[in-house]
Amino acid sequence: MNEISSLPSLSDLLTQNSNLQANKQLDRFAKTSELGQGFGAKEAQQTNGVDFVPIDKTSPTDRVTAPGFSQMFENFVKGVDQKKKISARETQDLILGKSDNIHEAVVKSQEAGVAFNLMIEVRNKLVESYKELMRMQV
Amino acid sequence: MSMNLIPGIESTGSALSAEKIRLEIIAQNIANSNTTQDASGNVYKRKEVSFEEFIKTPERRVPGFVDENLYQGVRVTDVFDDQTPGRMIFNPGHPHANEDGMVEMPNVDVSREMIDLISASRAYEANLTVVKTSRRLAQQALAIGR
Repeated sequence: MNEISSLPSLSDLLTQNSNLQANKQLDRFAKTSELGQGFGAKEAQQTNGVDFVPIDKTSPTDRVTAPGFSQMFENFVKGVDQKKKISARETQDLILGKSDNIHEAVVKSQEAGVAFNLMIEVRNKLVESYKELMRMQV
Repeated sequence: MSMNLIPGIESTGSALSAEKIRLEIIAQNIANSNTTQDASGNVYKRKEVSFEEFIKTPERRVPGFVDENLYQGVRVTDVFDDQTPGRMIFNPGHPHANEDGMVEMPNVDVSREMIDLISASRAYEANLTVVKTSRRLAQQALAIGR
């Protein structure tokens, strides 16, 4: 789960990429302004016929209202993961003899199971709605 | 409790732990029903447990889940000795006999312990049934989406 969340999102990659291209263009402007003495950077821009558009560094997901669905879903997945970890720890404690509460371990594993099932159901709904969108007549 | 998906699980869990301790104490009483000397040199006294309701704050919080619900559970507050005197038996040869040759037997009544055992195990079963039922409820609620 951590590996997935640490991966940069597609939109982040795209913004980074366009940033790189913009920097290259700026370098080129700087060079032309040095070579052609008397020409300012602004003139160089105009002569090239390219308008400099400031890059919006916020990713599309940041632009929508505050926490957003992805953030919410991430927290939910983290919660499920937490439950799974607690369940694993309880079971381990039981096996290692650190704890002698059988019911504790079983109840925690059931909790983790129900939470996981809920996550699966939510995912199924999401995938279903995506497919529904893809089937839309254009 | 953050993301409490199974209703009542925390209270029931604490009740299971408490009933388990009660069962252990009953087992201890039955095991020591003939013990005329305990660790401190006195005759074994029947042990009893007392339960107490407690309000537990969630021990773990998952970021993003705001939950102010506290749940009420049960816990064992005390394990105390039953001070009623035990039967005196005349047995002068017994190593634990007093100067009159009388041996005090533990005040454990095995038949009474058996009744307590039934009560404790039924209470445990009742809580297990609550766990099973509430888990089934959660799963059935999830099955709505299918």
